[in-house]
Amino acid sequence: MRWPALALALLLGATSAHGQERHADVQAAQVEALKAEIDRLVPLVEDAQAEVYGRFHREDDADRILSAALAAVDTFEVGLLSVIAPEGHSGVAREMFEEVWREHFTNVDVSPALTRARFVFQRSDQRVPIYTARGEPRVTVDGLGSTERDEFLARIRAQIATTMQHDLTGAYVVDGQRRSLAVGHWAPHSANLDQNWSWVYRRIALTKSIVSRACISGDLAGCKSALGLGILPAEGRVRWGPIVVAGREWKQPYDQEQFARWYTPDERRLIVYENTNMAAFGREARWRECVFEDAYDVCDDLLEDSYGEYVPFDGPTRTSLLAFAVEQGGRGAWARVFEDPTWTPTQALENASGLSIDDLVRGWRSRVLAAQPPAYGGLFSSGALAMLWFFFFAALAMRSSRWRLG
Amino acid sequence: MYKSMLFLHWKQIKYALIPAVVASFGLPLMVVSGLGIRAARGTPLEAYQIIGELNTWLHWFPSLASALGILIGLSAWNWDHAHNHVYALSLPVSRFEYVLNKLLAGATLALIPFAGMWLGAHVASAAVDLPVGLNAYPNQLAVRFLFAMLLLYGLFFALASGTKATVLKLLTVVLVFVLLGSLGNEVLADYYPVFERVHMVEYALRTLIEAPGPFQVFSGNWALIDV
Amino acid sequence: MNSAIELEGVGWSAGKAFELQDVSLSVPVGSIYGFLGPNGSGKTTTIRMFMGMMKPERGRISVLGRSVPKDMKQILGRVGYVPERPHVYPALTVAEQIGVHSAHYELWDQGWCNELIDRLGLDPTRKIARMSKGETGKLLLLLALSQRPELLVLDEPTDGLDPVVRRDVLTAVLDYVSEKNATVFISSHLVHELERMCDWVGVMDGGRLVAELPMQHFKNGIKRLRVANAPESAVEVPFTLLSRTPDNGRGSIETWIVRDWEAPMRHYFDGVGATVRDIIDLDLEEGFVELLRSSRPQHTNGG
Repeated sequence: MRWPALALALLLGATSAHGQERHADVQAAQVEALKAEIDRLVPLVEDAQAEVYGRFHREDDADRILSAALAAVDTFEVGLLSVIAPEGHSGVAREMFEEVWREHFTNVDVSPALTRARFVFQRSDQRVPIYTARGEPRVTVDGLGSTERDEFLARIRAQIATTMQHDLTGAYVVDGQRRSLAVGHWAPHSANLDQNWSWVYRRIALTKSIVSRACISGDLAGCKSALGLGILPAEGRVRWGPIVVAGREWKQPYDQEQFARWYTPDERRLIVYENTNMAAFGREARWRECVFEDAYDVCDDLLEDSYGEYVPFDGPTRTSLLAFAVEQGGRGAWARVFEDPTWTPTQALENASGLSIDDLVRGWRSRVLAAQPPAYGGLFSSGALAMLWFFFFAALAMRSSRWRLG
Repeated sequence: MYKSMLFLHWKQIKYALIPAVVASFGLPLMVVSGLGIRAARGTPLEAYQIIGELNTWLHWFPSLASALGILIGLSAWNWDHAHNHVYALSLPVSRFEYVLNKLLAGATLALIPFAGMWLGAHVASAAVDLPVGLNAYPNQLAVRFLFAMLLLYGLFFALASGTKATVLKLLTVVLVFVLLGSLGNEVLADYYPVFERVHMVEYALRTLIEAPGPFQVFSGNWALIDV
Repeated sequence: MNSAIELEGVGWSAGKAFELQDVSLSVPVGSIYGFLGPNGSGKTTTIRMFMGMMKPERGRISVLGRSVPKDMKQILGRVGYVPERPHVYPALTVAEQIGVHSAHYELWDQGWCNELIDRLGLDPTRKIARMSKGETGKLLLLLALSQRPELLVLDEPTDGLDPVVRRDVLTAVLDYVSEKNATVFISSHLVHELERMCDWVGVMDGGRLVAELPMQHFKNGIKRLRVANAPESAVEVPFTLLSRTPDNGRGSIETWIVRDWEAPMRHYFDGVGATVRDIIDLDLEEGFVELLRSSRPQHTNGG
């Protein structure tokens, strides 16, 4: 039986190989035909799109719609912003936009997306937009009378931040140079700056890394290492998240010594354990070996082959340092971040803040530690409230009808 | 009088309270026991893992506090109901004195599980080798536990002091509100768009949980270990 | 203060089911007042009214010279109360129950309490849940007496007890009264039980106080008369005619039940052309039954 089976296998293998060659030829011919078809169709599609666009976005129509919409609104400038609000609400809108701008965005002096945008202010239950132009940032509020002022301010701030984020994550040109700054990821939660710093504290405290723990304990070198500031722009796979200049990434080759400084062997194993991608593409056996059999060298091999961001302090945490640097640098700090696209993050941060990197990181660390969230904040006020209710309930018991028989 | 009230309440609740105290003492230990097992296996305890592990247990603390509060509250009036309040009314004490002493007696009993929780939380905290950045909050946890327990105790003390008819009326009102609030909202929203955004039940729950609502103490942190 | 308990026109109703109708009674200080009435006649409700447990809809109540319910706390400190149903806690021992109860009374006399424990034959270590009905009854009396009350209110204290225990309980009450000269208000539907000990009697029926009189009057004043040629209408009789029924098969002879009878009243019948054939003393129970029968509207016959 063995020989006929072998013969059959050889026959099938040969047939298959021949078939594959023929199949490749047919595919190449089909691709060429498709390319020719696409070349023929693309101009037609473009013409059709132009026709449609022309019909619906004629300049005169847009102007007419805009002027009609603007007739019932006020337009005013706040900082770099242009704000449109219904006539009846323009006073309160102006006041709030000014407050938000003054408190949070004074230092932003380079942001074309902000200057380009018109911020529309309207009630969310107003079905017909007061301004019909598309793509404008729109601040909506739930019934102006009932919305909490703080919440409203937070919405304005979030809208501005979102606009900036959109601006900064996409490439745009400042002073003739292409820049990108993902600063919008910083402090996404609320207008309350202290809460944002507390949020950073929490991220730092929960970071798994030798250097992050050292940073919390007061080791400045640990902080810088955890922030990835020691890494030079070179070949590699690690980048310093928030500042990506001129489309180049700051890269760092996988460096076992660097990883050993950042993470204990167990932490490296944990990184592998949490990254199931490392088990893909036939690596599952090695992944299991690393994770379940304490094969640390296998873990390091997997890390070396992987793509990922392994700087201990993550992007939002690093962005908080950038925000701190800009805050310290005052007016013009944003622009100074981008002065030279070849700068390392350290150089960019020093240039923006006007401080040495040590002073900057020291100040940032103090700021973060000072914002340690009170784990049981408000316990005694809520306890006092509970006690008030407790005695209120007791007073109800005093009035019980049970007290009279019959 | 307070002592006799305490004695009476203790007498009828002791068989339920003893396991409850054991639970209060044991819960923090149970919470950290998972961490201990992992540590024994040689797996390092990362801060975020500790927090994650503890998070899975968090709801047990308010649940236990509620159960104990309800238990103490409901048992406070057991014997009075059994005797149709005749005994209480035949005593030479004012209603205020009687209720206050009974209330305080129950509150004193609540201190026993509180002590169990406090002790258990301290033992549990001491048993865990916390990484830098994390702190244990045994006192705060125990105090929140006590407040939550007392609040539920007070509520059920008041409910249990009433007649069955009163309690039934109250429950009916709540049930009708929830039904109308959830079903009615959808129907009303067809006619009045404002109901698409206004959810009465949700609003009521928020009112209860957020200050100055009575259950605000439940909405806070219950973590034994946190940043 | 002549009355230990005084009710004036006290009224209360529980819908259509029951009504206390303008009850006025007066319990003299130092008396033993028997409160008689069938089950459901309103005895317990009346007691709860003057014990401040229920609020009357109308009328005025005072106990030991103080107003009810305003001064209830002061009043209850001087009143020993044995309720209709035991209010002791089954999970406690006798000693524990005494400890719990005594905490509420300033005048509690522990020495006297210990003496009563011996006299009533109670075991302080015994759990109440394991005690007989008689023992529980004794404990309730002990709790009421140990606070040295000026007024002892006993709501059916011997109901369901065997004769021996009943005698023990009543003896303890009498001993206390003779020693302290306290007032006792004792309710019962067992008439003969009160016959020997009470000096005042109040009779309740259907939510009304149908009679209130000294025991002596009650015992001697109710007679059964056999009257020949009885007048058709009995107006302006010198006694209270409770009932009159024709004697079956005996022509013109009738049986009259009368109250407040005295021997010279016999002349009344001479004046109306009738003759009293027999005068029969009724015992307390018969008198009680006749009193109740006469108080009920459907059975009232003349008078």
